[in-house]
Formats: sequence, structure tokens, C-alpha cells
Amino acid sequence: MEKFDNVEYFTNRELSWLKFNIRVLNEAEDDDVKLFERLKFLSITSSNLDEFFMVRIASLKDMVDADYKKKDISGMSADKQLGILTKETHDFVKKQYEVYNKSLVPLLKKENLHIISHDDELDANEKKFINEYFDEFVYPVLTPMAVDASRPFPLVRNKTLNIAALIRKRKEETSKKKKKDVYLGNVDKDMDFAMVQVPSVLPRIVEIPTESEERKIIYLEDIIEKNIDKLFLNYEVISAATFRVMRNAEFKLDEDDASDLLEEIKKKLKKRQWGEAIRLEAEERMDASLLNFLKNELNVDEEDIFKINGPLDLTVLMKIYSLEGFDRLKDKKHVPVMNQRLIDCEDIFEEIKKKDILLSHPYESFDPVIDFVSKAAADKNVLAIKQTLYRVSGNSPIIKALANAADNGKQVTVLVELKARFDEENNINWARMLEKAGCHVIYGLVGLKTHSKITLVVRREEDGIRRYVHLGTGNYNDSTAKLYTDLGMFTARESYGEDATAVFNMLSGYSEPPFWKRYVVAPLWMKDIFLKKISQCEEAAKRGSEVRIIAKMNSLSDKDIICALYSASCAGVKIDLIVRGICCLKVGIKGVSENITVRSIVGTFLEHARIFDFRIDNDEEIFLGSADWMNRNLEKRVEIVFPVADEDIIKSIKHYLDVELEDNVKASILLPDGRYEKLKREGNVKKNSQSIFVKEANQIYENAVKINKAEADRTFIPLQGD
Amino acid sequence: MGKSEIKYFAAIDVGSFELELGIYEISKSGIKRIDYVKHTIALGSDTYKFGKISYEMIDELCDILSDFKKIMHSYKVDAYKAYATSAMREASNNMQVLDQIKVRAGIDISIISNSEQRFINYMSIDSKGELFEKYIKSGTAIADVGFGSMQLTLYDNGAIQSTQNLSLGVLRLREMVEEIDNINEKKHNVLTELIDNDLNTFKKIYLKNKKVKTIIGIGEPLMYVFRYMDHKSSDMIIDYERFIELFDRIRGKSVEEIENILGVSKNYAKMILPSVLIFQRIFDLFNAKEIWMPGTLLIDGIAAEYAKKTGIISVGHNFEEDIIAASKNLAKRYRGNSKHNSAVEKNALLIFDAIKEVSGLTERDRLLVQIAAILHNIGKFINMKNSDTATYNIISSGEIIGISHDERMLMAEISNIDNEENIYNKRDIRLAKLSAILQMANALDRSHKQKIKNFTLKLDENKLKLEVNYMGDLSLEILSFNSHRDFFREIFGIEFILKQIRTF
Repeated sequence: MEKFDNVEYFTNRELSWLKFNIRVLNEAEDDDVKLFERLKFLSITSSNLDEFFMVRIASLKDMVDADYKKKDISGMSADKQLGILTKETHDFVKKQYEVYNKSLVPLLKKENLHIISHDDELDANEKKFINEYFDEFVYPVLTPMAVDASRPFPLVRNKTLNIAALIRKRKEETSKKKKKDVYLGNVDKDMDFAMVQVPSVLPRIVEIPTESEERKIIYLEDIIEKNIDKLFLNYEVISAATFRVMRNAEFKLDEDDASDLLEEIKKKLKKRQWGEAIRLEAEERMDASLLNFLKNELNVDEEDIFKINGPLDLTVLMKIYSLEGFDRLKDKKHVPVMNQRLIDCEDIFEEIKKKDILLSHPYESFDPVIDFVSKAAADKNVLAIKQTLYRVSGNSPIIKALANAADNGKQVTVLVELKARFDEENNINWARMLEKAGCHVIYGLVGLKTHSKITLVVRREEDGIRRYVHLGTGNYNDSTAKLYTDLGMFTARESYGEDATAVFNMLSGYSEPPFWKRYVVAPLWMKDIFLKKISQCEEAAKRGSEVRIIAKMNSLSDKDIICALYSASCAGVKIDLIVRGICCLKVGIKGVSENITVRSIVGTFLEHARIFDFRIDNDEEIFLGSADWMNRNLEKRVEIVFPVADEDIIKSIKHYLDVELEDNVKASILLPDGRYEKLKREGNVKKNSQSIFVKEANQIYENAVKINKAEADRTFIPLQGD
Repeated sequence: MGKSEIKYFAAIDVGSFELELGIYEISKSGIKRIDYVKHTIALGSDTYKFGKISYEMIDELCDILSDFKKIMHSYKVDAYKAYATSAMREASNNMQVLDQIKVRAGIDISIISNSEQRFINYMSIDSKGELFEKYIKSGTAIADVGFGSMQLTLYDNGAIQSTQNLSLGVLRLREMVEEIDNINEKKHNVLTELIDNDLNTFKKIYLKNKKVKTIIGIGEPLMYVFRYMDHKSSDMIIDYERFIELFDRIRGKSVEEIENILGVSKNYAKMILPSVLIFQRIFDLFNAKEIWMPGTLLIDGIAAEYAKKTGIISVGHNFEEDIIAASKNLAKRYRGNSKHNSAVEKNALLIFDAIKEVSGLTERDRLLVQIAAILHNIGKFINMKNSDTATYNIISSGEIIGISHDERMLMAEISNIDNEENIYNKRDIRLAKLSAILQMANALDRSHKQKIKNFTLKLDENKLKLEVNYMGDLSLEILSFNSHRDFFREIFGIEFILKQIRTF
């Protein structure tokens, strides 16, 4: 593999990630995409970028601070990466607001939705509405804060929206003030600094009632700004503008010392509010001295200041997306359909026992998974339910079912991963609730994140113990199951059940089993097995077999795997990768990666499934699972990848991959120069894989319902005599 | 037994380095392990270093065993059995530890002897199916390699030939060579010599001209070989060539390298080389052709024992025969295999069976009296005059496979038959009963001439009548019979009557 140990053969993961966000931004620019969907895509780029700053940029900054000199696989030091990323992110933000100001706002106006900006004049009625709204709803929840000798610069919470103002005592007051010495809040001569947080409890957009067809909305911060005089009564507000701070969220947990992980995470969560400020966004029109004051107080560098031409935090566009009455500007919402085998199914266990079941979300409904857990909770033959929970939705029906099961005397073991980024607070709440209900709750493993998605139901049946397993590529989260494309499989196969039992025993702190019957488990075995599979393909290709690898994942960044793929490519293995996000592999390098293609699908649903398909002549092995080919997944997480055994399921997954490989609407192809480009269709039929899957799922469902109905209609109903 | 009659059973092994729990589904169709957990806890290092188990260790034991109890409960098991082995056996505070566990975790643990432990391991192999019976028809060596010692047992013609406990445990071997600097080849040679030394002795004394075709290998350290072999089940048979192939891959490698090659933790990597080396030496010295690694654990044997005892499963190897065969081999070594011994054995069993209904003794006691009869005069080989004491010493210091320490001591005392004065001081009534039977059985062949051969025994009310057709002189037998008769009556409340019938 040394042959491929060349920095030229790899792309930096952060830059590759930015390219992914650009692909999402492209969707926001695409005229073929419906207008409100474009809002949604722009909103997604914004929340993506936030997370990128809080995690990746923050950690690069930590590396620079720690004088960490090691270079990444593309040969870049942290310092160098930061330099490039600073420029790239500034360009990106500029592009975001171009799309917002130049395309989306005017287009919305054309569609009779007017977003009022600072400069827009309001008529008397509108003013009256806004003033009343402010007085009645906003004013009571505001906490204006001035800075002076006795009042230090306040804590500006991470990611909150705030208005900074420059204020001056009114004339009659100034004489008194002069007696005081210079104090902290003295921004410039006799001007003071004040700020107020835009309350997050109120909706960020407010619709102003109008007489006409045109609808008008205004941002909450603008309502406050227009009424800011009311907050500082004895002062004159000279200028005001919004700003937002992002802080370092990547905390390093010292797990060896943290005897109680739960307590430790709680502490860290509080600390996160105080992390170092790594990015300051301020409205472009902010007064220079005000901005300078903020910069000094927050201790941010010049290059970390983003001057924004428009509303801060574009995730607000999701709220606009949710406005009623614009359905024609949105894609028709797909309602997930029931899997054909589970329509009117009375005994899900019986059905699983007959044959494995594959669920394809969000085309197919997630309900069977919830049903599986709740049926198990109520079933008198069920002895135990065990599940891993990573990111659980608020008010999750699964949590309720598990608590129920514990009530019913079943042994319930739940692994709640507290280290799921940004969800810690949420997870702690569920964990406590489950504990109270009598479940055995495991708070993750020291040093490892548990990313695997697995549920085990142990049932005592007439002929002995039988285990039912659900394995998936996505989290047990009924909300995201409507937005993320994921695959899940139910099985009652004995070997899968035995492995599942071993997984939970291992997660409960017992020794690992000497071997796994079916599963491929990280961090101990997975990487080796993938490397072995790839090298088997390589060997077969050298022997003259026809060999193909199709792998679909979210990110590809593990160096060893990439080198193995290069090596296989050189041996003639045809490799097609469907990688949504980061891809450190380069295509089309002569003598290295000529047989490799990479495409990325960015569509209405977030591509999330991981599929690994190894084909040697007529032999085929397909694996599904939770792991990406990233170093962190293969070495620092508990992950499960499992082979698919059922012939019909193998067929459907092959079809799934084929359709994705033929996508010419939402897929972008990675070019040898590192850019991504959409395929030119030139008269070909449009093939949008996600829409095709929606159509297919609906079709299968309707047919199945028809057949069921036909069968029901065939029953003869005897006439009753008097 | 109907389809629905499935028993759920839990087996716990409190080992020297691990706590293991297995949950079993037992039905007429077989034994299936449906859950298994293992927790590493080095009880042995406490016991072997300090002679007792520390408070911290007891705490951990109780925690884990409480958790085991929860798992057992979740499967709603019908019964459980928990055995502790050498670390607990040798700890001076074991009674207190077991009491703590009983009180805090609610689990009753019995301590078993080495020979019982090995025996249960063999039951686990047998429970895998007919293969065991098939193999032991011809020369087969079972090597049960543990952390502290190994048991080497020879089977031939379907029964045990001999069995020895050798101090070739992997941990012990590892520690012996730990001192040697990082020269792997040197360590390797030292280990080889250590192993060969013991194995050659075994070969000389016990193997003699017997042929060993198959080795059966069991023991925890061996389990990790499977993973390396990419084997998806813990049961395999490989021939000498494949074994050597594996051996060559790890031979002379450092612990770190083995860690990588086999994908095991450091602790296990340390154990694998000595373990594989032991098997390689057995292969070489015994000229074996193949090795069967059934991958069974002590807990599997505990389940098999339960299945047999409760009568759910009645097929499989007869292990009582093994115990008897092992005893006979022991007797043979001390030239105690005369016709007299056979006669005493036969007499003892006939008496036992005749009074079984009223004696309050069990099937196990029948086995013990039989073994005692087989071994009752082996001390003569050492010393004609004080042969009883010598017999006592041989039995009490040796090991008999499948027999607990307690039982062995009991037999040693029973065999000490002529020590009349001690008889009333015997520690319990069971011992007295078995002694009484053996004394009478021995008296009936006092002359060692098998005069009383064809006889009938009949229990009538509280009279046990023995009628024998013999034309010659029975004076010596009758004299001896009469001297023990009173004791027999005292113990059983049965009058033993000997009637000689002469027909002209």
C-alpha cells in the first residue's frame, strides 16, 4: 500500500465537506427546484455550516493552539487548513446571501410573499401592528443589558441572536456621568454599549396582516430594533444591529476520571455556553466602533468576523418554508407507506419468522419499528427487549414502549449514547426517565461512541427461545425517519439473534465473544474485514474474474480503505461509490484510481443508508450497516454492519443501487480535478432516484392493498333468514 | 416428553480468572446454550499470592453474580448450578466468601475438586453428540489445558485408561519464561523443554505401547484459535498439517504480533502461544493424526450433568464406567487386580442391592462402595503389615477422576476396613454404612479363594439371608463373617445370616 502513500492522492476532508455544502447550496440555486424547497436547501447549508464551525473549525483551532504539527492525509497542517477554510467559508457565506438577496427574496416577492427588511418603509397600519406586537408579546420577555463599571460585559450565549446598540445618555443626564471615571462600557467618547438577546421563545418570523393579496412577514429582530428606544428610556440609541457568536463546542471528555459520565456531560453542557468564541457574525451595516468593541470583548480575530448582508442565521428559512398556503411552491409531501408484508399484519413476529423484511425509509413507514417494540412490550411471551438509542426524537413513542415493557416485568436494556453530539441534553432526559421506569440503562462505553442501531426481542415460544432482531442504517428516531433515506431489516434468523445477544452482552460490559457468526463489528474487527473483502476482490480480479464493488455511504475518509480501493482499482476491480458528503478519495488518477467513480446525491431526503456490495463473477455479498468508511467509525465507535441473507432483499438492494447509479437529476459526479458536476442529460430521460423510489413504494403499496381487498371480497356472505 | 417440555437451566463457573454464566435450553432433543456472558476477574491472583480472596474482589464477585441472577431471572430459568474451582477451593477464607455471595447475591456455590471439574468438562464434550463415543473407541488423549494446570487423560476401548494432572498451565508456563529477556526463540525452547519433560514421563508410565490417533483439546486459551482460523463455530477438527500451519504462523512471535495476527486482547495473546505449543508437543510426542477442538466450556458440562441427573437426556457416554475403569487401572498399578478384588466388588454390590430399599443409601453410594471394594487392599503393594494405612494413604493422596475430594476421603476411610476401633468414631453414618457393607463383602472371601461364589441373598423382614452351595470348609469365612456381623446389625438393624448348604 506504500505505493499509494502520497499526499497528492487524497483530498482534505474539510475542503471536501465544504464542497458537499456547496452541492446543497446548488440545490437552492436550481431553477428546476421549487421555490420553497430552495429555501429549505439554503436553510440546511446554514445549519450545516454552524455545525462545521462548532466542531471542525473549533478542533482545528485547538490543534493550532496546541501547536499540533501533524499533517492530514492530503499533507496539510492544521494551520494551513484553517487559512484556506477561512477564505472558503467567507466566500461560501457571501454566496449564500447572494442566493438569498438576489434570487430567493425577489422570487418570493413575485409570489406575493414580501419579507420586510430594514430599509422598507412601513405604512401606518403596519407600524401600528408591529408596535402593538412588540408591546404585548416581545417587551415582557426582553432583558436589555447595558455595560458600565458595575455591569461587566454579559455572557453572549452560543448561537443566540442578539442586538448590539450604541447608546448615549440624553443631554440632561450627561453632566452627571462625566463625574465617573472611564469604565468598561465606554465605547467611544460618551457612548455606551448595550445589548439585548432576541428571545428564542418567540417565533422568529411574524406575519403582518394585510388587506391585499400580498403577504408580508418581518423578522423578530427587526421588530425589536424598530422599538429599541423603548428599552433604553433615558438614552438615545445611536445605532443598533444584530450579531451572533459561535463558540467551541468540541469538548474533550476525560472519561477515565469521569466516574459518572452523566454528571460529567451535564457539567460540560453548561460549560459549552462559555467556550471560546470562534466566529462572530454581524450585520454588514453595524457601526464600525460597535463591531470593534464586540471584537475586543469577545476576543475574536479579524478573519473570524463575518459581515452579513441580510438576516443572520438562515436556518430561519425553515420557518418560512412552514408557512401555510404555499403548497404549490413545495414538493408534494410524501407520506411513507406501509411495507406490503405488514399491511393489516396482526402478528409482526409471525411475519418476521416467515421471512426477513426490509424497510426502506422514508419511502416506507417507520411505524413497524415502533410497532415491533410496543408489541414486544405487551406480549406475554417476550422475556427481554434490548435496544441502542443514539438520537431519539422528543416524545419518542419508542421510549414510551420501552418504559411500558419494564412495567410489564420484561428485562429492558437500553444503551443511551450520551456522546451523540448536540443531543446530550435531550438524551440525559430520556435516560433518566427510562431508569425511573425500571429499565437497565447503559450510558455508553468509555472511550467509544455507540453508533450501531440494533433492537433485540427475546421471546419464549413453544419450541424454545426465539430472538427477533431489527438492524438498521439509521437511528431509532421516528422524525428523522421521514427525512433520511435509511434501510432497516427485521429477521428471526438464529445466527443474527445470537450475534445480537452477544452485542448487548458486550455493551453491558462482558467480554467480547470469540467470534461473530454474521455481524461485522467495529471497533475491533470491522476495518480488517473490509480490508480483507476489498483485497479478496483485488485477488479475484487478478485471476481474471469480473469484479465490482459498489459502496454507498455518507463519508469516505479512511486512508487504509482508500489505499485498498486504489490497489483494487489497479487490479481491474470496477468500483462505484455513492458518497453523499466527505470523500477524501480522488478519481481518475492514472495508475491509481482509473476504475473508480464517485457520485453524490443531494435530494429532498438526506441520503443516509450505508450499503456495501462486493461482486465477484456471480458471487455477491451485500452488507448494510451503521458505519461509514471513516477512521472514527471504524476505530472509535461501536458499529454493526451485517450481511443480507434473503434473496429477495438482495434483489431489492441491487435495484436500489442501480437506480441511484442511474440518477441524472440529483447526482453530481466527482471529477479528477476535485470538482463535482451534475451529469449533462442531453435528451436522456430524467431519472431522479428519490422520486423513483417514492413512486415505486406507492405503487407496491397500492397493489398490495388491492390484492388484500380482492381477497377480502371473495368471502361469501350468507344471507340471514328472518 | 412432549414438545413443550423444555427446561431452562443456568450454569455458573466461578473460575480462577473468569466468571461465566450460560443459559441453556434443555429438552429431549438436546442441550442448547442460548446466552453466555463472561466477566474477567482474577480471583486466582488473590488466592495464589495472598492465600485468600480480598474484600474488593468479594465486592466485585457479588456485583457480577447479582447481575448474573438478573439475567437468569429474565430467562425464567427452572434451575441453576454454580461451581467454583481452584481459586476458590484454595482460598483460606472460601467459606466466608461463599456465605457473602449467598447472602448478597443470593447464589449458592459449590466448590468442586480438580477431578470433578475435569470430569464435567468431559461431559460437556460428550454432550456435543456421538463423536466422543466414536473417538474414544480407539486411542484418544484429552488435553484440558487451563491457566494453572492441564489434565491429560487417555481413552481407549471406550473407557478411561489413565488420567493425570500436570502442572502445565498456560499462565504458569508464561510466568516461568517471563523472566527471560525478549528473545522469543529462547523462550520457545525453554517452554518446549518444560513441556516435554512432563509429557515424556506421562508417556513412559501411562502411554506405554498404546497408540493415540486423536487429541481432543479443550480449555479457554484454545478458544481464540478459532477466530484466527476464520471459523464461525467453536467446534472443529483439523489434521496435523493444518495445525502446524497455524503453529508456524505464531511460533516465535511476540505477544504484540500475536495480538495483531489473531485480533485478541493482550491478555489472551499471552496465553495462546503456550497453549498452542502444548498441543504441538502432544502431537509430536504421541504421534497423533488430528485434533478435535469441541470448544466446550465447564458450564456446558454443568448443563450436561444436570440434563443427565434429571433424566431429561439419557443417551451419551456412561461416565460411571469411566470412574470404575479409572479405579481398576489404579488398582492394577498396585497389583490389586486379583480375583479376590473382583469377588469383593461383586459381593459388595450384591449386598448393597439386597438392602438398598431399607438402607437409605443412594446410587452414588453404590458407586463409592464399588470403588472402595476395587481399591480396598492396594496398600499391600507398599507394605504387607500395615497395608490398611498404606491403602488409606494411596487413596487420600491421589486423584480419581469424577470423584470429589470429600468422596475420595470417604473411600479412603472405608477401605481402611480392619481398623475396628475407629469404626465407632467414623465421622458420619454414611461412612459407617458403607464400611459395614465392605467388611461383610470382604469377610465372604476372607480366604481369597472365592469359595462363596454361587449364592443367593434375600431380605426377609429384618433378616438378610445368604445361602451358599459349597461342599468344602468355610470356617475362616464364617469366623470373619461372625466378627463383623454385629456391627452390620447395629448399623442397619438387619441381621445377616450365612447358611452353608451342602447337598450330597
